[in-house]
Amino acid sequence: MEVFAILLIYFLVIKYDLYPTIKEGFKKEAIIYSILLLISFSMLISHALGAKLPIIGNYIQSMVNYVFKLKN
Amino acid sequence: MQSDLLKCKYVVSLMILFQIGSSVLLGANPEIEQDSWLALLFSMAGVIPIILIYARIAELYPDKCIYGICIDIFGKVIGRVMITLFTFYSFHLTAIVLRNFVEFLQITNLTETPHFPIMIAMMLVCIYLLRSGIQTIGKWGMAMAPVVLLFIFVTTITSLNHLNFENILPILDHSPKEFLSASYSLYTFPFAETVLFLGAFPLLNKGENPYRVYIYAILIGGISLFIITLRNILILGPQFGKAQYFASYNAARIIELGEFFTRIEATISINYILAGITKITVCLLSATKGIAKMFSADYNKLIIPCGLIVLALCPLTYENVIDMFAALHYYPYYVLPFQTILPIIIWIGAEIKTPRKANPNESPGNSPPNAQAPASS
Repeated sequence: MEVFAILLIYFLVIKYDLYPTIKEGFKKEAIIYSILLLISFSMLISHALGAKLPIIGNYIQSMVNYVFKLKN
Repeated sequence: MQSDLLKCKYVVSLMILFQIGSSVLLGANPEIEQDSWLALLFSMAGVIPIILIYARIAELYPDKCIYGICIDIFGKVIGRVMITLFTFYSFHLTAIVLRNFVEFLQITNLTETPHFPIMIAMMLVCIYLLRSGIQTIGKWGMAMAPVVLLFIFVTTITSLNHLNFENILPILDHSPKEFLSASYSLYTFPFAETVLFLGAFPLLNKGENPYRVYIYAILIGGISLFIITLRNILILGPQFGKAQYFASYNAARIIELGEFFTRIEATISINYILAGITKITVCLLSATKGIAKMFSADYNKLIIPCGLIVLALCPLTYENVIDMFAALHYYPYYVLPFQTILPIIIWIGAEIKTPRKANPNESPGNSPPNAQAPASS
């Protein structure tokens, strides 16, 4: 269900926002837009399909513990 | 086309909602139990120097957001590195705040609903607000701040018969180290998070005073948080308050007047969401402007993909709600560079550059090409 929701959202975004952006001639914006869409899509879809993505909070916690020598 | 410059009262309202946003949800630092209200007052005093620095940066460059200032002061390479850091922080804070509200709604109201629909529903509102323009965000803040403050006032008044003043005793029972650590936590969350306003807006119309904006916002927001914190301690007691995940919500559940005015927590959660949406919107605006400035693009066209990046980041911020509250322990250390070190570096750079720009007798060869006079204070 989550996968279908993601596909629908991206279809709507591409049809009603990215496509008009390209049509209006915003070339640079369209390229950045597409790259950001690709990044977010790959993250969301892999999360929805059950892939174990790294948790940012854990990395930050390790980094803070390392730099400030905090006790766990 | 709407102007990017906001009136003083709009920015103050947005800043008040921004501070109340998720901090009212997670509660002021419960680690020092009955002394957290004192720590809040101490952190309010402690944040004044850094907000004066934020205001000074806004005063020196009244028509630019912090990303433009970074490029102006440090050049394209170092400036872009700084923009990357601020943008990362903006994205991460947006995802954190969104996650806070998703967890809150799932635990308190929508227990059977997965995270994803709640995330999308909140993000859609924020994207819609942003797409409507900066003036609309300002007017939204102006309309919502009185509502949120009124609810805080009403819940405090109606809870008077439940207050137990023995709950704040003994006062200053914790060691100075614990007290200072809690005060620093409150300094970073929520007060110094207002640094993102430098990224979101070229702060004010010309002639308006950024110092006044920051001081008013910190005072009103801080006093509101102080009232909420004190109310929670007096209703729940320090031990029970510490054991609760969402102390303000649980305090509101207890409130009742006679037998007709009960179960007001649903109203309270709507109130929190109004403030939360404002905070997410301002953070997302800052992140979008950072991306746009990095690639010299129009930020209006990048709002939706940036919102989708936040949606993708949101599940990756924490494993679960326990992790989310545990993160409050290391968050103050993690945000130190973004809230304190980088703004101080930018401020020093701005102070060094600006007098050279302002001096009309100096030879033109020594002044930077995009020279600009500082605004009068």
